[in-house]
Amino acid sequence: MIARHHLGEFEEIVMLTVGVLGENAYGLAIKNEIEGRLNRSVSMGALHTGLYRLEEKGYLVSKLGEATNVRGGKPKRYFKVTASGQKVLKDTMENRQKLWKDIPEGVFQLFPSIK
Amino acid sequence: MSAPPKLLLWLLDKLCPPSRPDLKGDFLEMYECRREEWGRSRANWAFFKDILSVLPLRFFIKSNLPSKSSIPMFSHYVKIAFRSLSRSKAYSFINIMGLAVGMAVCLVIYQYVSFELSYDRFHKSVDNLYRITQEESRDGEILERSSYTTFGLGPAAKEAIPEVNKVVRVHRQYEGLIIINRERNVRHQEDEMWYVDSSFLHMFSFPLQHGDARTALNDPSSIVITADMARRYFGDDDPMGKVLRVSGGTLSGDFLVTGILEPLPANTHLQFDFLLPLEFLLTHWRLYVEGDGWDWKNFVTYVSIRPHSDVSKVVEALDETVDSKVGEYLRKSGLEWKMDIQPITDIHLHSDFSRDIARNNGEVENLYYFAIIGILVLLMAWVNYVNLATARAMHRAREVGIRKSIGAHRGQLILQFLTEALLFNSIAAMVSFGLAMFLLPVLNSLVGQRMPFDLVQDPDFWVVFLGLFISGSLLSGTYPAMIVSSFKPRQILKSTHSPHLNRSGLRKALIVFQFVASILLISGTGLVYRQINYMKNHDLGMDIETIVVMNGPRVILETLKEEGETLQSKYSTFRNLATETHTISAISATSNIPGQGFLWSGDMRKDEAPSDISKTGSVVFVDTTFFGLYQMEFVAGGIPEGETGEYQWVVINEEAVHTFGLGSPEEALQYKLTTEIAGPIKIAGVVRNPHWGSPKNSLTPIAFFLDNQYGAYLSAKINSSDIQESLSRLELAFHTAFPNDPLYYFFLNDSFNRQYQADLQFGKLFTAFSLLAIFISCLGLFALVSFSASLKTKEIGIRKVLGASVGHVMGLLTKEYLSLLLLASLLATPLIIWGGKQWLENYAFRINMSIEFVVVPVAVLLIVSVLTVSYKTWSAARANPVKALKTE
Repeated sequence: MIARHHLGEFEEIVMLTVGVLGENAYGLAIKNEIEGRLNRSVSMGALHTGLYRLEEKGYLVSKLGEATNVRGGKPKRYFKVTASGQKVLKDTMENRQKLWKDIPEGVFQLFPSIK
Repeated sequence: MSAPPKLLLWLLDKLCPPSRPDLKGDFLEMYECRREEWGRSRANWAFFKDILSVLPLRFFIKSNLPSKSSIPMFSHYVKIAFRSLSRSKAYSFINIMGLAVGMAVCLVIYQYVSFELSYDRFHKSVDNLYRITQEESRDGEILERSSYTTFGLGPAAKEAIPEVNKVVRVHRQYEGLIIINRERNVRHQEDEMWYVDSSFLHMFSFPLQHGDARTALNDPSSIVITADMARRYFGDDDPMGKVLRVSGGTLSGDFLVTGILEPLPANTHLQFDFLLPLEFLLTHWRLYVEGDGWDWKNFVTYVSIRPHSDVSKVVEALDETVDSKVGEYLRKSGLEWKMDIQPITDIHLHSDFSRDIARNNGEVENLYYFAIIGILVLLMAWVNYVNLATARAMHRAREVGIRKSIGAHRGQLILQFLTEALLFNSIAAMVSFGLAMFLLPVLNSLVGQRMPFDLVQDPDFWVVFLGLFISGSLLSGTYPAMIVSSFKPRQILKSTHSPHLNRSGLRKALIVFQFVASILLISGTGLVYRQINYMKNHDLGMDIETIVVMNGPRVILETLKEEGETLQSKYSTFRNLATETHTISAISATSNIPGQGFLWSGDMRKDEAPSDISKTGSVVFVDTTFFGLYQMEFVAGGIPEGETGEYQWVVINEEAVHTFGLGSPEEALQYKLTTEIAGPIKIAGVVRNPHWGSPKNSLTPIAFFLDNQYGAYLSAKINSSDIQESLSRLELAFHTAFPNDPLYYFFLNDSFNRQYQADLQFGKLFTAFSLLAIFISCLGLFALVSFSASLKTKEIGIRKVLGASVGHVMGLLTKEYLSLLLLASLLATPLIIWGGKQWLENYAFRINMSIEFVVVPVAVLLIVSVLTVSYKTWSAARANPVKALKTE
């Protein structure tokens, strides 16, 4: 694979969360989901910057929803993980699993290795 | 529904990229939730922090809209600016020249002013150095303000006042002495011989090329000379340890050279050639040996004060010291001495004393005048730019219209025209730098200064330079940029006419300002020169024409006793030899000559009056031929026939009659005049007031004493028809009578007129800067008229077709400027009258302000501006109307 992007940890979490939220993956929902699940605070600016860059890389696509009366009349932007996004997520996961698998027995004392 | 505060919403609007409306929506939704959950203030705070976190996002999002100020646009502006600069070369040249001259004048004046302010700042502990001054008064009437003190004061002050840690006394030798290097047979009369305390060279920072500053003046027979004097007396030899003979009566002696000073900097008030130990003077000069140190105010006392001492305390202590030493004497004679100290950095510009050891003092007022001129000239140059750029804006209107209609923001247009101003100013700045380099030597020769040529090394200079450049660009660029960018594209593009500038009011005001400034400067120039001429042609009450003045002999004094001769007999020899042929009609030996002050000033009074009503008068020692030679006019009495005994009678001037309360000149002859020199002696005659000094100063009481021995100067009345013959005759007679004395001579009127030198320099500078100012405003006027003529091309064409004459058309174009000139002259009149009166206050004998100082400058400006304007209007008016009407 040539010039493949490595996913950053935050990017990975954002993409996975977009997947978790399915049809309802828009900015604030993603932020709340991450904060709720991972117990860490995410600033709006950092999240949107991340979303923007992932879109630039082609891992996410977005479309604007209908403007509604709530939210000061502003539309929501819904995100979806693209095929290349899903591929890169899968690659990342497999790489990790491989690493886990290759840890010799007894090195991690707290739990046995995954075999 | 609850919305966040307006301020936060505004901030959100500013920071959120407009292409991402959803982000704003997320923010608002989040705020609503948080507010319910956390309450208002915490939600607001969190909102604010979150908004700030958006900032990095702006850098990532590529906007689809053109950015307002990008580098490519800027380089485009520069390109366009260069094109418009080269398209109308004459306009650009005028504009740049005007700006450059204005800036150069400012830079040069800055250099001059900072040089004048730099006097004596190079001494190491300059903040602690002071000069003691003293004011003598009687019954509240100030008799004398002096920078000279007695020689007893310094040591007494050092002993009594703990704050004073160093004292240096300086005595400038009044009459020049002859200095001789016998080895090389070099002899000259030297006027700047200073007797100083041995710590002079520690207190002041004059570095020595050779010798030890701590010990150089310790020995009473040592002498320290400047590098220039070393060259004069020793050529290429090493002067250290060699002997210099000082010849001059009781002060004669052999002195060993113990130090050679680096050439003195120009910016010090201490300008001497030789330093001799004060101790020598105090032990050899009869008057100082006999007195107790409190009689003679002939010494300048410098003190070094311990850092952080209270100056007012020192002054108080000085008064106490004086009181403890001479309080009793002062009370007896009804006098009061008020002591003060003056920082040595104030001496150059803030001294106003009857006598001063400094010969090169300046006046701080002159610096103000020059600063004002500099600012005026610079403003005129900026005004030029503004006027020309706005006038030209009409030619750029089409360009602006098109730019706006294809989507230029107003801000972009302002930036574009500011860029142009910046370009013009930066070219002008470069030119002005060269001009300043060229002008500075000119200035040096005008003011007769040796200003160091170190503009570039002075960081302050660069600050000023950059300041001028930046403020100039902004001030001159902003208004035209605002005007041009305000054009409505629809109007411009629809009509074929250029837009009318309704805001020409400001332009007119600016022209009026230029006229006013020009009138002021021309008027000032005239005033200065009229006053100088007035002083030069003023009736001095005596004749100083065709008088040659020679130095009196000094070396001869040493051998008189051996020869068994008297000085008087030597004078007779000289006089007889000189007047043998009829080219020289009279010779007179005096202690002083007009324009060179007095040897002695002190208390004088009417004979029977008590000593406590004495007033200060000055004394000149003269021989009997003096009054005839100088053609002094006796208003009462005269020289008593046959009474040639010295100190038997005195001749006074009318001012003395008045000051000492002697009634009328005739009545004065019944009285005697009492002085400390000779006791009461009879008044033999009263002469019409001579102007012994410049008419700038008021008249002072003078007493002329007969003293045949006192020949500091020899005056000779010569035959003007054969000056060469007279001079060679004098030379021969002098060298025969005084074989070992060097001869110096000069024409008295030249040396007297040198008193006006400072005024002349001021006049020259004023003229130079005024000419530049007028040049700038003419440039501006010329360009402005050119543009208004070219705008009216069609109007002129139609008028001519309908039968208007050339004169009529010219009048049409000129009329506007003439009315502005009239307005300007009305505005300038009170300023001229007021300013002129202020300036003339400095002169005791002065011209009157008259309407002439308004009329003449206005006439000059009228002629210059009509000539300027008509050059262009003439060609406009003469042009074939067909051509004008064909152009579209």
